[in-house]
Amino acid sequence: MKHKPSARLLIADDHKLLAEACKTILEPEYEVVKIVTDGRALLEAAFALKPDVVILDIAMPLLNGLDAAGQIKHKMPAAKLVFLTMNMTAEVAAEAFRRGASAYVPKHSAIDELIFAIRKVVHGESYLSPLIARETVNFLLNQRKTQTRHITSRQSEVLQLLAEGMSMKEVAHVLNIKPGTVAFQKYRMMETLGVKTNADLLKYALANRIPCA
Amino acid sequence: MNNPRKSDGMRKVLGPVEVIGKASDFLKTREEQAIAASSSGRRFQNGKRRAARWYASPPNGTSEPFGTKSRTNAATKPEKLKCALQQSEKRFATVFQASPAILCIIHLHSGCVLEVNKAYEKRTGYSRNEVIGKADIKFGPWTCSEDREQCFEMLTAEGRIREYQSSFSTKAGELLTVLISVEAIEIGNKLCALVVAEDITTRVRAEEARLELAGRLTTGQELERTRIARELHDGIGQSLALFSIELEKARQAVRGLSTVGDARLKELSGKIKELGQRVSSLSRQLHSSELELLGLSIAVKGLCRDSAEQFQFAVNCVCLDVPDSLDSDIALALFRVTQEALHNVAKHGEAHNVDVVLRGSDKRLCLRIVDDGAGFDLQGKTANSGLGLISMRERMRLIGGEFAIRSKPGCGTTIEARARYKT
Repeated sequence: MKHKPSARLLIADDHKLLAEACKTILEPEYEVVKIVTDGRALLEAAFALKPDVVILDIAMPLLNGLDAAGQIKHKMPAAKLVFLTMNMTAEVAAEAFRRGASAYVPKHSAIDELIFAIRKVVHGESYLSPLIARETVNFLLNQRKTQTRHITSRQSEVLQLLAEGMSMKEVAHVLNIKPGTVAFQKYRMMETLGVKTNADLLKYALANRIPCA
Repeated sequence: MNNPRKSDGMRKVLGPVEVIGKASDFLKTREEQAIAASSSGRRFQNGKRRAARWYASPPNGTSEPFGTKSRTNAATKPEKLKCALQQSEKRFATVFQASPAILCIIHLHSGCVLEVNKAYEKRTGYSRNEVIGKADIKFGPWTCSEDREQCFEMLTAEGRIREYQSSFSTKAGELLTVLISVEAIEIGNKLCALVVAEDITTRVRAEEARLELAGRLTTGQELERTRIARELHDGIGQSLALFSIELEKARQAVRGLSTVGDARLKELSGKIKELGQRVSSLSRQLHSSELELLGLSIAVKGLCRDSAEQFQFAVNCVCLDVPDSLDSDIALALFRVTQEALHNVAKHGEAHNVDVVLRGSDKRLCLRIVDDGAGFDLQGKTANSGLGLISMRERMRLIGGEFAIRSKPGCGTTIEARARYKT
C-alpha cells in the first residue's frame, strides 16, 4: 500500500520555544517544513513552500495572524488554517473563522487537542476548542448573514406605530414603555435590518406589510 | 434704581449711594448739586450730604478733579460741601489707585483713555502718561477694533458687561487673559466706560497645565497597562502554555506510571491550564487586543456580553454606523468609558437591565448607557468619590468629546459620551 505522504505543516509563532515544542510533538506524524516568527515571514514562507496546513498565532509582529490569514486564503484557498493562540474570546474566534480558519485552538488546551484539531483539518473538517463558547461563536457568525433579518414582535409593534407617523414619545405612551426603550428598539431594528435612515425603516415596514391602521 | 456695583471697595468708600447707572444725578457741577441740596434739603441715602465725584482728568491733562478750579459760589455751607467733596474724591482716588484689579476709564465715543490705576501700569507696562488721552486699541482690554466695537455696543445696550473674557496686550508684547466687567458712567455729560479687568492669565494657564497633566496621566496609565498586559500575555502566559505542553509530553513519555500517578499528573496539567487562563483574562482586562484587531463595535459588543455573564444583569448592545477604522485614541476612550460604566452598574448594584447604544452619524459618535438600577444623587458626596466618574469625564475631555451623566435615586442612570471622529 502506498504510504500516503504526511501533510506538510508551516508553524508561525513569535514565541520560538513554543513553536519548537509544537514541532517536536507533531513531527512523528507530520512534516514541519518551517517555523517563522512574524506575519510577513509567514506570507513569504506560505507562498514559497505551499504547505497543506498553516498553524498560526494571532499576535505576531509586522502582521497579525488574522490579516495574514485573509491574504493566505485569498491566494491559496486550499490551505488549511489552524489558529493556535492565547486569545480565547468568542469574538476573535468568530473573526478567525470569518477569515477562513479551519480550526481554532487555544494555547492553554492540552497537546492532544492540537493533534486532534490537525487531524480533523487534514480530513477536511473544522474544529473549535471546547474552551471557547461554541454557541456564542455560532451566534456571532450568523449575525452577519443576511437571511436572519427578522424583528421581534415587540419591535414590530413599535415599527407599526412609527410608520403611522407617531413620534417616539407618543409610541412610548401608547405601549406604556419609556421613550428611551422605544429609541433603543428602533436602533436595534435598524441594526438588525441593516438600514441607515428612518426612511429606509419605513420602506421596510411598507414592504413587509406591517399592518398600518 | 439700585445697580449693584462691581467693586466693593468703591461701595465702601462712597457709602450705599449708588453712583453708577444713575451717574448723571451725581455728576452735575458742584454748583448744581449744592443748589439742589440746599433748596430741597435733600439727603442722600446714607443720611449724609455727600456728592460723589469721579476722579477723572480733564482732557487738558491736569490731574485735578473736574471743575475744582471753577465755580465755588455754592449757596449753602460751601466750605463743608467742598470739604466733603474733596474727602470723597480723595477716598475714591485712593481706592482707584490701590485696587489690585486693573482699572481704567475710557471715553466711549473717542476710545480715549481718561484714567488708569497703578495696577494697570504695573501689569501692562504702560505708564499713565503714555496712555492718557490716547485712543489706541492696545491700551484697552481688546485685541482688535471689532472687539472694542462689540464691547461698546453691548455696553450701550445693557449699561454694563459682566465677566467677559478678553485679552490685554502688554507693552512687552505678552498677552494677558482677563475677565472684564464694564460699567457705563457719565463724566461731565460724556459717556464713559469704567473697566475693571481681573487678570486670570495664571488661572487659565494652570487649567491648561492641569488638562495636559491629566492627559499625560491617562496616557501614562494606558501605556503602563499595555506594558503589563503584554508582559502577562507574551511572557508569563506563553511560558505557562509551554510548561503545560512540556508537562503533557513528560506524562506521555513516562512508561509504567501508575494510574494514580497518571491521574495526578493530569490534574497538575489541568491546574496549569487554569492558571494560564486566568493570566490571559487579566491581560485582556488591562489591554484589549480585540479593540485593535476587530474594531470598536465588536470590542464593545464583546465587553457587553462578558459583563452580562460576569455580573448577572442583561446587557443589550446596539452598534449602528460605527466606522470600521477609527482613530485609536477615540476608540480606546469610548471603550474605557463603556468598561467603567458597566463596572459601576455592577458595583452600585440592583440593575436588571442595561442598554448600550453606540451610534455613528455625520462624523460624530454617540455612546449611551442606560441602566435601571438604583441610581444615585449626583450632588451627593459619594457621587464623585469613586475615580470612575472623574476618569470617564477626563477621557472624553482629552479627545475633545463631551460627557454627561444623569441619575436620580431610584430612577437608574444614563451616561452619554459624544466625540467627533477622524478615521
